[in-house]
Amino acid sequence: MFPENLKYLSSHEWALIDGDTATIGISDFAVKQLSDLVFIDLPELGSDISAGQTFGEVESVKAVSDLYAPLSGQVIEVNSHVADNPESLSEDPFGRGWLIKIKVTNNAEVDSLLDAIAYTKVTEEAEH
Amino acid sequence: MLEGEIPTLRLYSWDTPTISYGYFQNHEDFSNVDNSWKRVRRLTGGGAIAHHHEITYSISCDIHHPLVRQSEHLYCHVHNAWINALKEISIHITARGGQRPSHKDKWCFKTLDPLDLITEDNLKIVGSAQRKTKQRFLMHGSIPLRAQKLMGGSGLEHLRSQNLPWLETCEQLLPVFISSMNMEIKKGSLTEKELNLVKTLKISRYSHDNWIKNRHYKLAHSNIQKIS
Repeated sequence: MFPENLKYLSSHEWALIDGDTATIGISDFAVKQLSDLVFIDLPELGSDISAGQTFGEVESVKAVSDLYAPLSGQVIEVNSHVADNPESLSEDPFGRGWLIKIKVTNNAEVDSLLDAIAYTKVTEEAEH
Repeated sequence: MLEGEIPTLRLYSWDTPTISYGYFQNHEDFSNVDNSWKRVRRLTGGGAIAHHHEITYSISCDIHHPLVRQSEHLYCHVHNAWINALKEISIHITARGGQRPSHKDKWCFKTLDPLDLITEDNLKIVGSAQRKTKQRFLMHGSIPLRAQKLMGGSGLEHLRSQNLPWLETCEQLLPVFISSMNMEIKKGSLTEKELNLVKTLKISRYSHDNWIKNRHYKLAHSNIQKIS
């Protein structure tokens, strides 16, 4: 089961919404699938990201994958520790492994995100 | 990585000796390489490859295709198929196994990861990489016919001690590769739609300095969006 206080995308990103701020990361399910992470490319402070569009990329030993924004907003913080030490993301993907924080520009987008139960179904289907 | 098309296996070669950088590699790291080598940046990560006298393969399909499931599994599945195919021409290779190396060279064929395919002399002979987007999956790789001093690794001609013409070698390898992949294939060539996209991509991304040197492709971004 995944943390119930988070919202999810089926592409495995999560968002912790606190007022008009959202913290964004990727789930432990995604981290496990990616296995050994070697590089994470995150957006610059102040840049705008759009819901459903790529905001970064992650490279594991053999694959490069896109990161998708659960919500639209302006980047107000970037986790430089994870950017500098990608392998550390696997230690605590729902906590210290967060990727970026944004100032949310369209709160209505939250309604289209998955809750923990719906996201659990997505991961179960992906495993079968 | 064209959206909505059927899974495609493609074998191809290179007109001009070309270095392909891994997606995140620095252009400057290759400034000492002879300018007779053209440069291109790949969509996939990993180390650089010097493409010349080689069989290059690609497999692209929908991200939800049963083939993809767990990408590492597909990686092994494809590499096993190459092990079987190369056996057909009396070349015996294995997956390296073991631990991940602590040092990664800038050249793909000088870094030996556990899933890489190696010769009995511990030289890399097949190097592959994957790219995943929301809709599409790509895996491609390089099998040198001739070893390139520039990047290390081995070559099929060295292992067989004879010249191996590209087309004949592909024709020998392909049936075993396909049966090992448990696939059925229908031969085809690039469609007009695909050829047009190739032209667009060449102009707006792959031949553009912004992409080759800096991984930027803001130009003609609307065109890129449709296929990436």
